Amino acid sequence: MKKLLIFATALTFLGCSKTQSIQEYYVAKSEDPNFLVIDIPTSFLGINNQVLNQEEQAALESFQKLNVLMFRKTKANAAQFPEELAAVRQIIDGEQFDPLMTLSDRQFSGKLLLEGSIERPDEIVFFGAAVDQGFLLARLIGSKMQVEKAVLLAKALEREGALDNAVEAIGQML
Amino acid sequence: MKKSILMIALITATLSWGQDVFEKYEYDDSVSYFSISPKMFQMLAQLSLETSDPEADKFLRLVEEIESFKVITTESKDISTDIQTWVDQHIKTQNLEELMRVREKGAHVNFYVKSTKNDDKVKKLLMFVTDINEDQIKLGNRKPETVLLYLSGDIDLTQISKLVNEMNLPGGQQLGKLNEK
Repeated sequence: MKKLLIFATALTFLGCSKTQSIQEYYVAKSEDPNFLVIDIPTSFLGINNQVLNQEEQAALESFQKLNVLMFRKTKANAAQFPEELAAVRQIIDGEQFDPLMTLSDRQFSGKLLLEGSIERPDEIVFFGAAVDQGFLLARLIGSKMQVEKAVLLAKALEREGALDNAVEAIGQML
Repeated sequence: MKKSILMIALITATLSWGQDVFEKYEYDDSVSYFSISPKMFQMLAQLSLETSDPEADKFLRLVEEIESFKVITTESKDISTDIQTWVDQHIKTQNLEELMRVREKGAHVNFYVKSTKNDDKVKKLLMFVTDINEDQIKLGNRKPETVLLYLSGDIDLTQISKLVNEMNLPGGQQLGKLNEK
């Protein structure tokens, strides 16, 4: 009986052993030369708040930034690739995220996930991996993002030429 | 001691119970897998997307009625057998009825549904394609042996064949024939 108890306790601990969070993974890999990390705040869109109406402003503010992590596969780091792939998959397939869409093939796999409620998610994650090229992990981070306003927001951004601003800002950064 | 073994067996059984055949092979090399989760459909419905094309709008409304969509294709014989087992079990536990069966030289296609009172609407649709041996059936650069498509929601059979056709999957044409009956 005692053995059983120990076994049960061990199982419980295994069950809630904390896996690395996505944020911890980002931080850990930002030092690794095989990775490229880009942080794009919505301010890069170069939108003057005054040109937006109140509804558009609130929607824009609910989205905070886009965080991109890339692993570019080369001959030198090819051995590291399966390891990193497994690490990321373990994080995104954990309980923190709900999958929205999944595509998986021999050459390519892609996954769209969400954290938080469907109406007001706090994070939307895209993970794409190509066997011979590497992978990309993109996080759209916000706070209670107004998803249903995305179409409205996209229209406002198009009106203000925000995409060109962002491309320019990122270009300067690189 | 016997009791504890039984317990462990029970726990393992419950753990593996929730796993369906789609997720099981998600990362398998001899499998192609595509799925859209209920949450994605709920989110799409929220966006209330509209286009200027009435045909596309019709298509979007159709999509909003779907709850879950999964498709798996494989070229592996072993996995095909496992999928077959899952399908057989699923039909039993979920009380699915056979809607139609098409035997052609190119492939065997079976449709199973969970029907509702309305003849045109079903709650679940399972399309199971096996013994694919025709050259023109190709998905990308691979030749699948077995295809399993799973749909749940408030599904209008007369509309859904369009969706399957759009994706250019084997079986789409057969499903289209449903409209003619």
